[in-house]
Amino acid sequence: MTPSTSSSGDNGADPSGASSTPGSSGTAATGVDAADVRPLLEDDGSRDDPALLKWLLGLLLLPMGLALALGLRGAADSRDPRIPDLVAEFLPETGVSNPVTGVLLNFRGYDTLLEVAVLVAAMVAVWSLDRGERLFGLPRGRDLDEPVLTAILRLAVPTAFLTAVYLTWLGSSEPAGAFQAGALLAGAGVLLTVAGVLRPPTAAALPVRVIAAGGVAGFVVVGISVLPFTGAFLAYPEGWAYPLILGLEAALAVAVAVILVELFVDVPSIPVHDPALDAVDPYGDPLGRALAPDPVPPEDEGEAS
Amino acid sequence: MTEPSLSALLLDGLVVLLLVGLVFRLLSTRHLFEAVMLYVAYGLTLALAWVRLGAPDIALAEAALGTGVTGALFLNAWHRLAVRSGKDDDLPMEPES
Amino acid sequence: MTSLDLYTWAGVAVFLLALHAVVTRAHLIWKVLAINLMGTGVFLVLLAAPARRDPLMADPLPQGMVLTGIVVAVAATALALGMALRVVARTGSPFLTVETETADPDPDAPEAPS
Repeated sequence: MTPSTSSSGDNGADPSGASSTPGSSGTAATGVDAADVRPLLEDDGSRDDPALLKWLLGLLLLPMGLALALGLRGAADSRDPRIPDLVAEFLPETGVSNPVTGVLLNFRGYDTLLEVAVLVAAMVAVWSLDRGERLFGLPRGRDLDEPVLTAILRLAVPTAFLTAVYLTWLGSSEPAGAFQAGALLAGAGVLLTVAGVLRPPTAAALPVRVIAAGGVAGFVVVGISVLPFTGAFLAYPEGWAYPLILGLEAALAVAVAVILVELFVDVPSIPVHDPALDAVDPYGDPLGRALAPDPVPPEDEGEAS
Repeated sequence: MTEPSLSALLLDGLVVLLLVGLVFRLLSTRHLFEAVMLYVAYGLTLALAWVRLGAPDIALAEAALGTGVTGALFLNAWHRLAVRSGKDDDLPMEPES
Repeated sequence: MTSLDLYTWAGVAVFLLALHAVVTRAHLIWKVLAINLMGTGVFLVLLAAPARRDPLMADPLPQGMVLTGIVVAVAATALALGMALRVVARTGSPFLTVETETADPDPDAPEAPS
């Protein structure tokens, strides 16, 4: 179980010198260190703990694995489950016939509300990681020099949209639902973003905030508005379950899609201030161009050390 | 699923071997690009495993999220690192010669 | 030994392999990858281990939990990747180092092992 270097045979052919200077990356923190260029992408294990520790850890984990494997063996047949019977018994009252959707949006609707809240929190945390003026630096779709990507876009994106709408509606009776639809929309959004057609907005743009908050807000509004009728938060009244669930699924799908695309777009850039590197990579790194450079790190690290 | 049919056991055994093998290789490889590609492959194999386990909703979600979104995230991170490290050739990783 | 057992063991194996890698691999992106894989291992166990009413179909409650878990894992992975890239942006190195890297390292200090 030791993930040690498995391709140790190509050290001779590797021109990067990654295995020769493992400790050299510390001297110039944000400048491009000549000996440090390749190791960003490759980990030859020279920075790992010694092999003894790796084997020791493997030895520790092995009995844990055996205990789990033997303990869980046959667990599926060991007892009579009661919960699926309960779910099946109360499913007609949920307004949907797909039990998973019933669980997610009715029996455990509160968990779904908190899940969207967690998504929003993660998105805000990613926003906080970098300055937020984010462009991929790619041209608009019509200027794009990538015929394959554009052709794929023309086929995939409308299909994805249609399928997402269908999946959201289908979730009440067949395996499908808001999250699958949202994920599909997010995939289409990622494609559009990479192609430059969907110009990624600067982080924390208002439409993004509104839609992302709308997912959580929809749940809370529905939950509170049913309080006078049923006396419990998020307890749908008689006959209202199906339309409410459908509406919530739609809001959920859109919100999840927007949040996931925003998470993809806002992965922080790594500022490159070396003009030689900018000349080499046509996409460049937009963050370093029109804006003030990062604050000089040695001051920060002087405080931190 | 609990029927001890030999063909079902064989199929599931193959899927399980594929899952564990992919994880082992991706966690032990030296190249980040290879790890990301293997992760996408693992996501799709996991979607197959969900179908075998009788969870089609999760299979759909895993196929879309695990490969489409998380795979894209990792590939994006790889690209950021590639730009930062000044990679200017077309090869995503060094050929193992 | 049933197919469900096989998948349970697969989940355990994936979880432990990834746990080993989280501790062992020094590269931050690999750590994030490994944490994500630990999550998928847990999901496998969560769906394959429990007793089920219908042998062919997983119970809806674990399915709901795993669905929620997958979505949350995506968001957490995005955040972890963002933080890892931020570390690379600030320190220039994707490896988790113990010693702080200052502009002028102390020439008398012993070289730290990692």
